Amino acid sequence: MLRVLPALVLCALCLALPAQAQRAVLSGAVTDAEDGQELVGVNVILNREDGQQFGRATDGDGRFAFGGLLPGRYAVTATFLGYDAYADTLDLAFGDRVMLDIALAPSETAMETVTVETERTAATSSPAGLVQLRPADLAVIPSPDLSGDLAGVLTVQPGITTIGDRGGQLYIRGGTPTQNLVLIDGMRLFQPFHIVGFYSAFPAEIVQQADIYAGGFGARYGGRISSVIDVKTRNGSKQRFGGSASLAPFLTSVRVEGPIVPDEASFVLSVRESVVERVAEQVVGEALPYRFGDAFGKLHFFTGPASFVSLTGLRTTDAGTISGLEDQTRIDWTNEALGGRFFYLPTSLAAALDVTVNYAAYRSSFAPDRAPARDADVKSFGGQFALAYFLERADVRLGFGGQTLQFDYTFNRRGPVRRERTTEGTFFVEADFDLGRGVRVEPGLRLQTFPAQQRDISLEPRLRASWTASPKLTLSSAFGLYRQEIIGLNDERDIGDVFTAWASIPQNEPTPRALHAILGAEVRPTSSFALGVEGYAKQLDAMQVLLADRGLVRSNGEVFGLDVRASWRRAPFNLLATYGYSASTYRNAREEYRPPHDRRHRLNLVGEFRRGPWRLATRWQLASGRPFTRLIGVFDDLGPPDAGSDFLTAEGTPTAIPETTPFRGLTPAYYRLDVSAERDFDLGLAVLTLQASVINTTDRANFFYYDALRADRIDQFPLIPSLGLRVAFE
Amino acid sequence: MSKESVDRKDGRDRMGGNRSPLFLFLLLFSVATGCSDRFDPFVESDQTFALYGLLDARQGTQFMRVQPITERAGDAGTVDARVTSTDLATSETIVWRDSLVQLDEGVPGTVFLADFQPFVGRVYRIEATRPADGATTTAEVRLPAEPTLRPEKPDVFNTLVSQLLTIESMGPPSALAVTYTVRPVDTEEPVRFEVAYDEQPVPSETGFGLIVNLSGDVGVILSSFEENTEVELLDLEMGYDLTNERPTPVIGGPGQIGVAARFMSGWRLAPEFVETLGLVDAQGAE
Repeated sequence: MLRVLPALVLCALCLALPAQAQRAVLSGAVTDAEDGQELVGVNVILNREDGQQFGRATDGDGRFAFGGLLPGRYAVTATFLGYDAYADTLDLAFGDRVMLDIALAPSETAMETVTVETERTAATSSPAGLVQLRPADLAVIPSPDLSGDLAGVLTVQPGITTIGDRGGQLYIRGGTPTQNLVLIDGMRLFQPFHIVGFYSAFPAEIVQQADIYAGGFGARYGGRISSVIDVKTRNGSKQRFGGSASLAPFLTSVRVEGPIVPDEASFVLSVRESVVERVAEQVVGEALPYRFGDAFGKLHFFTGPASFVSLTGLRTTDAGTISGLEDQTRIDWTNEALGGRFFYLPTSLAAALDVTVNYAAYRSSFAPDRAPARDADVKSFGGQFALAYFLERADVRLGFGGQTLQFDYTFNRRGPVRRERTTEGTFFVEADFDLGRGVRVEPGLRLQTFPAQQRDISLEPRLRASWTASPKLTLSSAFGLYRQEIIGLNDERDIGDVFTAWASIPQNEPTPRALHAILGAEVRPTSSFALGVEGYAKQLDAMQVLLADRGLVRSNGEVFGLDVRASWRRAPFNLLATYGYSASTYRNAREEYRPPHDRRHRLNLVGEFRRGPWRLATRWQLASGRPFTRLIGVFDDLGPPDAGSDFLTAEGTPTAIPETTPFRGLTPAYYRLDVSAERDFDLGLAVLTLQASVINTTDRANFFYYDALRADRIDQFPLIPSLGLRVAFE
Repeated sequence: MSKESVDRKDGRDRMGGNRSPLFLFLLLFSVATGCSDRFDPFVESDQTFALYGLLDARQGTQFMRVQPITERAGDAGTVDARVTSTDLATSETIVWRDSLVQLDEGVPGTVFLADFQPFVGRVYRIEATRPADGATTTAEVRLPAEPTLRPEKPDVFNTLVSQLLTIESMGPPSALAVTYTVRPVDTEEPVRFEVAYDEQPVPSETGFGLIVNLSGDVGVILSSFEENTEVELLDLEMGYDLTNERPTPVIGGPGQIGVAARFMSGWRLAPEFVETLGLVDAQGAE
């Protein structure tokens, strides 16, 4: 039955389409009138003269399409925060194929919320578990430099827990970093964060939109059981050359972009390189031996009025010691990703074709100072073919794809390297039904198979739904079943160890599985204030947890939580408060425990003030402690004593004795206050921005990790003052 | 053992030296939220010492390395402990004496020793006690008893004789050697020849088997006498060392205690095989 299901779905769609084919089709793109950049998430609303209303939000490429439209007069509106609203009228007849390109002009009152009352049309998909971030959101968070980064804004989301400034690990609603699917233009990244927690592989200047699904994600995503971070990058300007360069004690960055062929092809190139390892001693009086950087490039070509090809490449490098002590455990990793995409939105059909191919590689090595060095590589190559059909009150998307993956790893560099290969095949179908009266339902189904693992085809149903009860109230929910065949192994007991080896689940073990359930409400009592509350539950089965000397331990678990998010935007203020509560419990055959990322409470307050050339920003974070495994003590392990051993005089191997039941201790609470001030100077051809910032203003000693063998407590970053400047040519 | 909290490593003032109203507010806020930054990684435990030692039935002096469980690697140094061993068959207790030794990297360590030769097949309780509070780390160590040596019927191929011997022990025997006690018929003094077998005995359901090349061994023995000397076979013995397969775990602390013993197990060869080997059967005559 499972083998014929995709064919049946295709047949059903083909039968349904002719009935819609005689009707009119309206498609197009929405761009910024000043720089030609595609705008993502713009609400495009059609009001037919008979009172019927249809809504869409532009996709990650700024595109929209309506199919199956009956003849008649339609009022078209497009609204987007920070832009003047667009309004026009169209007369559509049977069989019309209309292409409408909308250029939105930035509003004079950019920070005011522009709201067009649309009765109860929900233009966007269900917001359950989803946070959509745009470049303006990324710039709000104070950081020790002017480049801006996705990592900063991720850490203020209520459902996201970070271990801290060192190591770059994000835990989303109880899931571990290796359970997060991270995509950049459809390419997987295995370690998307830099060794310093302020930075990811995504500088703000390359991000067009980031969709963060903290859970309950739809059928187009798979292979991970916790969350999705789907980053779409921006295209270079096709009208004019531009760029920027910034310099700060943590990081230097350069971005250039411009047309290759005006109005047809463009490029964008971004390079960042850390300098903190060279200047930290002078700036903060403490060595911060972290070296990291990234390079991103993208080419984008229009191949027709409604089609384009893009090529994206990304490379990140990281090296250092997580503890920050130069003579200690050293880790380094490299990500490489290269991908191509062809997108076609034909005028004759209310459909879109999206084809991607990608290659990704991740290499990491870890050299503990008292244990054998380890290496782990993973390479993947694959692609996806996806189709979207836009019907009168529904979008239907389906696609299939495949990946081949190769894993090479050794936990002792002097020993043999283990190699595994596997192939993944996927098919998905999902629909977004607008049922009227503000109700949207998005059922989906994903099929996954790993022929080399000789497992049954995995069938994963998903359901997302929302009800825009009024312009001021939206209720949403999401449910889904998720499986993860490829797992990342890192030692759960050792926070200082971010080394991860990727591998397939052993054949005699079941595939890790998660069930998600989300229920949320968003209230917008005024045009400037929004309050969102979301409760969630995750059931986790057959996870493979690496627990130090016990090896892989099969574990189950539950996560329950509540996210609250309040925002208030009225010029010149932009305020955000988030609170997250989550409770994770893992259990195995021996014990039940709270995993080390189980921070129960997290509170973030973010404030921004903009007036003229000035911008002030602050962030305050408070998080309760996280579990850790307490220690009994340390001794020198002399090995099995026998007549031939030198146990009487040998120095032995220093060994810590952990408490038998893991994670019964609790670290101190974490809090940090960051502030920054910026001022722009208009130099005519360029804008010069000066920034002064202080990270950890109160110099709070936030605990990071304890080196048992040295009896050394390692803290997060101390107070870090910073001065930065950026020059932008646009 | 001290269990004091471990504070931040550099001892920075929690709020720095700035006394502006903002910092005062933040200080009050942090106090109000009760955010102590103290961190205590240690938990109280009954684990006191790490014990590494060997009870060796072949030696007249026994040794035990004793380390305290500390909060920091390399802090072991000297040990304040009382170490005893008790033969559970006789309840005889021996108090071990301590000795400061220099470890390989020049730091001091503590070794305890006692002058006695443990008996095979007996169980000894080793106990290390901390005088300050009486906390103890113990291990009950069983020395292996002599296993049965089971000889199979010798295998004869032409004039070559070999024999499978099975040592019915739990763990693999090592340092195997066959001792032939012979005597030329015209002399009074017996002569012992020990032939070492370096190969590993083969595990079986009942123990560990070794094929003894009797013809080969006897050929070497006879070649040490003048030609045509008539030689009597007085005795045959298999010698081997036994250790416990897994060192005894320690209770109340980490560590392992090994055991070692050497056994000599004799067997008799049927007269016709002795004759085939070119010897005169005199087994049991001595």
